[in-house]
Amino acid sequence: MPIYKIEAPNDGRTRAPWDLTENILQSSPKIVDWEGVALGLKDGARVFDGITAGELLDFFDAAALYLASTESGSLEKYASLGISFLIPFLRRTNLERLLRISLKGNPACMDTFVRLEDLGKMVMARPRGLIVHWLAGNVPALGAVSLVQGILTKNANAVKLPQENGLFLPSFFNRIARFEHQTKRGRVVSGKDLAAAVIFLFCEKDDVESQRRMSLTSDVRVAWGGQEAVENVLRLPKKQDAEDVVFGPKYSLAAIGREALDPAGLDAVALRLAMDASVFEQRGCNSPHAAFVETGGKISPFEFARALASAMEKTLRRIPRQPVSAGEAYAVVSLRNKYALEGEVFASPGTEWTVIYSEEKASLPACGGRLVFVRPISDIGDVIEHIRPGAQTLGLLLDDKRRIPFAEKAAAAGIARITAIGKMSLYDHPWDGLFPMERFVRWVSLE
Amino acid sequence: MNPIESRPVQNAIDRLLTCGPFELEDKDKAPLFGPAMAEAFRHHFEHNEFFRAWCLKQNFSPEKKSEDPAEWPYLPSAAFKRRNLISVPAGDIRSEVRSSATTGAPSVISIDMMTSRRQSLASARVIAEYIGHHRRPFLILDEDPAASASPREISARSAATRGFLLFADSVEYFLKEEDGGFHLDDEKLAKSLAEHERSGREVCLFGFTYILYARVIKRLKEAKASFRLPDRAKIVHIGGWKKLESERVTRPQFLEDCGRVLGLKESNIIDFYGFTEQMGLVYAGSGNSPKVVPAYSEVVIRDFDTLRPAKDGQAGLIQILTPLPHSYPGISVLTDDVGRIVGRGRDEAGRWGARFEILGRAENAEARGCGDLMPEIRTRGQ
Repeated sequence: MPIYKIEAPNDGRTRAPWDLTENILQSSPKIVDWEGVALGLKDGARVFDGITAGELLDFFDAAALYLASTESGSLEKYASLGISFLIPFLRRTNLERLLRISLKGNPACMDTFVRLEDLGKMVMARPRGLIVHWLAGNVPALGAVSLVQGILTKNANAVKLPQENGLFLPSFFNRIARFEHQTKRGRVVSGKDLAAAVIFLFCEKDDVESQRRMSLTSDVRVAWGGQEAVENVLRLPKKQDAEDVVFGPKYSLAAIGREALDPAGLDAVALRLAMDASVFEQRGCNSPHAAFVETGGKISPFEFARALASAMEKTLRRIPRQPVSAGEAYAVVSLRNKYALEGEVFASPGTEWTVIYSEEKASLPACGGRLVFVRPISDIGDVIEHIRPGAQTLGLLLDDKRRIPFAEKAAAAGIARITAIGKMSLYDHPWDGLFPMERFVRWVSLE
Repeated sequence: MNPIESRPVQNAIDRLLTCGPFELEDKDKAPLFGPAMAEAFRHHFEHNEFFRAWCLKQNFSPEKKSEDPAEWPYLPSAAFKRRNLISVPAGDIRSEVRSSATTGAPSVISIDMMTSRRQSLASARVIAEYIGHHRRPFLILDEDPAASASPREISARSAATRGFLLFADSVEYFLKEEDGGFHLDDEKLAKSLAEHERSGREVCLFGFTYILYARVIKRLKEAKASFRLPDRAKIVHIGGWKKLESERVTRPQFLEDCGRVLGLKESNIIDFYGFTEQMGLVYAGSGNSPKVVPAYSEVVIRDFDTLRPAKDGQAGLIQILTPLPHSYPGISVLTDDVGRIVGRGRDEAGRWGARFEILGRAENAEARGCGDLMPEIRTRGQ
């Protein structure tokens, strides 16, 4: 089975589908000498030797402004695929902060040796070499997050695309590749030069041989995906010193203390949670699937479920539903049927949104498709039972006095991120408990 | 002898069953199908607490019934995995059919005498329309169900097979379970095919689509073997296409290879569709033709987004209504199969009924990282 090189689609494409179809694969070049291509990519990455980290930050900042402009048409073109999230991600204010945190406080260490006072010596961060990114198709914008951090750390990047929405990233990156930016020092940073160190690939998921070859050339393996997908990547043989960065399956949830809800603020809280559960059609790792509401307050968990239902309908008008898959549609109907007699189901007539009030104690299914469970709890501490390694974001609404002690327990139980309800759907760092760029470099010291 | 029995007419459901499966135009079907469905709804509403509660939650009762079948409530097929739904006294149950359940719990369907009789009759009438009423030798590409454990518990596979054996005057099985897997007795099959080729006697090869192709046709093709079965010989196959599609075997390829290896016309290769929750109701298509809905059921395609009936030609979840099940409330089931209506009225073969295609299965959305989501939020200790 071949490794296909996937090129950007004709730019006339304006809407979905972005899937890699059989027709597209048939017309894509096949890579026979992958090892040679990998060497060529590393060679292409030498272009970074002449570009400073600051210039790369400037380039992406300017590209973000271009992508946000009416002239580029990108906002409309990629509206359903997370462009509104990607633009702020690419801004210098964001990337510089990330780079600084990941590189011991000084991004200039990507360019030369800088003194680390605490260490008493000079250090320089060098790219690890070739990063192979195995992407998932659920939130296509995340592939760009992975790739941009690979470029910022001056690595060569091979991106193994998912079949679902697999054309998004080549198309999006093609816009960046055609962009040029003149820095304050008068230097022109060209997207075309950066593209020499990037390749988009596809191979069948059961094509173990092709993936084995990709894995053996990797200096960093970045695996996005479900349990089976990431395990398949991790099972592949790798270089002894290759680094693995895994973004595996995650779930997110919300917890609300009894004193935090009152009649005046009820609708606002419900609307914030509804927004968190509707962004990216609840397909993100940070999308809440359940809200645990403490009993004994001015608003009962059942009343909150009712308010959330109303908010989901309002949110539907703000964020129109993307077409649902057959699997999601069936899962939604099935869960509505199950809980109609074991709880209370609030739902749109179609599969647009569902709120299920349930008092059962067992595990909660997380099916996506804007379906949120509301469960009563007698004490906020009961939420800890539902936090296990694999939990990503906890949207928390709790009084200040109980907030820190509860957060400490949630952290010990395995949560990766705690934030306010309404901010769950933002993507920020640390991501899944790590700073990827920290893992994309190796350190050299100079005394 | 015609294997289809006849019975005295007692009620609206039996009245419907006196009709041939493909002889009713829509205008003639509605006055028979509507009352039969109303009768079935009333029975399950009155005798099945779960079904009654579900209908009431949908703001539906037999008195409020609509003329339009699409307005009647439906149960997702998954409801039959969660509990054994029975609408008759437990003592009336003759057997339990279990679906294969490749993942999760199986559907369990409890069958009483009345359900069994209705399903056998409907099934036989539809099958006869496609393969003829007479009996002939059947070569079964499966294991002998006599090897299965309990006469009361029947696997959906062997239950589906039994419906076809009414049309058999002799049966041979060619799969054996060995070392935890199924093995084909190639030699026995080749010998049998050669014998039927020589005798010129009509024969029917029956099997599950994947096994038939991967274990028989593909192997014969690779061995460059070919037979010339008699003109009226048939292949009858049931089961999904997913596994074959994953191996990039298309329907035209399947038909071409079957035809070439066994010397059969495409129209003599018949694909049957059915599902455990409405055992006995089968939908057939010859060659590349779509499936035709018989008089005993109605198909509604539900739009994924709105859950309203989709326009003809548009893909959606397949819902099937039938008044036949008496012992369990499988009278209006939303399946996790995806399909579309491709025609209505009379087809080229003169059969009346809506025509539909099965496009695949509504797979559970794969849990992916950033990771999307884990399949469930587990509590500790579970």
